[in-house]
Amino acid sequence: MGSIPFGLPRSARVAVVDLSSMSNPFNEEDGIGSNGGVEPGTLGAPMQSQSDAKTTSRKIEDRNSVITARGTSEGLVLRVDGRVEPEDLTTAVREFLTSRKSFLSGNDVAFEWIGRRPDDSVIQGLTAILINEFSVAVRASKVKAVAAPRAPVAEPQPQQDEAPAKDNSFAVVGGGKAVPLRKIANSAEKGVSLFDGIDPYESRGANSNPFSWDEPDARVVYGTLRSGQKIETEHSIIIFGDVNSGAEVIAGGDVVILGTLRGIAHAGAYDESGGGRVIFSLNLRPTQLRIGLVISRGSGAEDAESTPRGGLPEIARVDGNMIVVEPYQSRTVWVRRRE
Amino acid sequence: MSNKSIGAGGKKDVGEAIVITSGKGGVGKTTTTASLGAALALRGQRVLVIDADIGLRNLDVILGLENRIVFNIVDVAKKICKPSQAIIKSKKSNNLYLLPASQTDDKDVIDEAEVRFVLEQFKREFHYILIDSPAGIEQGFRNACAGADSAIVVTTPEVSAIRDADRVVGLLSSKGIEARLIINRIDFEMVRRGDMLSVKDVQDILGIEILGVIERDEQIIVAANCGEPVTYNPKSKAGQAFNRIAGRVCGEQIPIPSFDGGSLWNRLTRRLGVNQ
Repeated sequence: MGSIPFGLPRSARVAVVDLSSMSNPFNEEDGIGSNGGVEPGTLGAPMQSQSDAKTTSRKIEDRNSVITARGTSEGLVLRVDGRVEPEDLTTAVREFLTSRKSFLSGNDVAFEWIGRRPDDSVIQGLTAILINEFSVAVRASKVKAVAAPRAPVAEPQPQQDEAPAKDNSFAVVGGGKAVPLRKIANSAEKGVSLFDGIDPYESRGANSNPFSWDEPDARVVYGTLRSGQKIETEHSIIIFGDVNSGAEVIAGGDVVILGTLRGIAHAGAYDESGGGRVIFSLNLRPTQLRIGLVISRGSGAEDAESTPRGGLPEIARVDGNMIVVEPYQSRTVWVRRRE
Repeated sequence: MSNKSIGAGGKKDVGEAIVITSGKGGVGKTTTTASLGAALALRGQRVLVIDADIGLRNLDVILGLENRIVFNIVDVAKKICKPSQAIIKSKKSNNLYLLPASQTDDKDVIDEAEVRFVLEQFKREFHYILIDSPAGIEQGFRNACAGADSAIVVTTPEVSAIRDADRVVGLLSSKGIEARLIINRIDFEMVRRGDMLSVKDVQDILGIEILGVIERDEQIIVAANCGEPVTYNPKSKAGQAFNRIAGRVCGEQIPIPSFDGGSLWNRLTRRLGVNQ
């Protein structure tokens, strides 16, 4: 097996999942840990679970936001939405741990409550479950308030003068709950990764494993944005096309334009600091770049040139209170990210 | 192939309605409508050109027919007159007719449904119906696009015109109308100097099929003032371009000439390595 990622006690067994299967956390077989499980493409649909089908099925869709796991230098942290009803909380925690039983058994975790810390009795109950049913100790429990992205909006359609449904100039795929494209390759725990639901906004230790920074939600647009068109998403966005002058892309995450950017791109739009987000384009000739609250304008002069400056794709990020543009290099950029 | 017959025995029983629009004003929509209409008529097609710029009509002036207007598109839409009473035959061609706009109303006087009704009256009589759209993207534009089968977007090689054209292409696409591009008033000497966007630059941004490229030509102004489309002037480069465009509209494969190095002197000196 591969090297053990940062932060975990050496005794923990970790399934090293190859990158190609990392795209879909909360994939099939959660909650059962055996050959049954979810067909690809049915994430979000009610799942036939052996235990308590009715109550669990309702929560499957929300499971992503109820409980997520994170590795830190002190060990594993379970981030749990404390605002959820105790009953649902218990169920969610049970499911989460059942599928990861073999990783976690014999180790300890810390609870991090998001939004609200549940009553002590609830926490004690969960602690008991963890110890008795899964042999997992709880070493700490604290409340965490997060600069959360805005409440998820119903998938915003590109704004135009005509009804969006009639627009056939591009199709929008993904966003919201990720749809798995293929079954995960066989591995010890059927592809359930310890790093499911990694929270990208938290800071990381120095030996961060870059493979662990994957985000399950990104919006993909197939086509060019014309002048006057606008797309807004709370996640990252990938555009297979150009963004013409007079068009706008607004993303809570990163902006990746596989084409020419002549319009306005705004990354990290819901985070004051920009959240370490970047704007990438094969040919960066923007009207304006915005990351967080920092705005910078394009030079304007070489507006319509069709080859990138220096021939290279470029990436823009915040440095202090300016936006810095540099040629994109696949290896170095992520090290500086989110310090 | 260029002799489509309509009505009984023809392959197509209705003509094709093409809206000529741009977003930006003053780039050459009316000139294009008149000149292209005349060029199609020269090829034996029956053509109706419609002025949809209600309140600011110009198509009649460009064709030299302003004195002959009795009824207009609003009269046809409101059923005040018979359709055949409103159309005016052009001076030089029996194949080219004009349906003028009203000058005393404004663009909200008719709506899309009425425009479709007007088109219905003429679709069986003409091979091509060219609709001269007003500038902008409001009711006038929406009226002009109503009932159109395809569009020609006219732009000049200037950033402001291109941005407006881009907007319009997006709007047309959301209406399901496919657009082709005419680049008007290009000056290849300026392109060579780097002072003007080239055909390729424009195409990179707009990304739609180019129907034609028309060079800047003084003769267009002369023709407009005389009320005679530049198509009839064999010496005019623009006129020649419109004739080629008419061929392409009819489905002929006519390549766009590659214009490089204007004058003979330039071409000679470049060969000798004197010019850069």
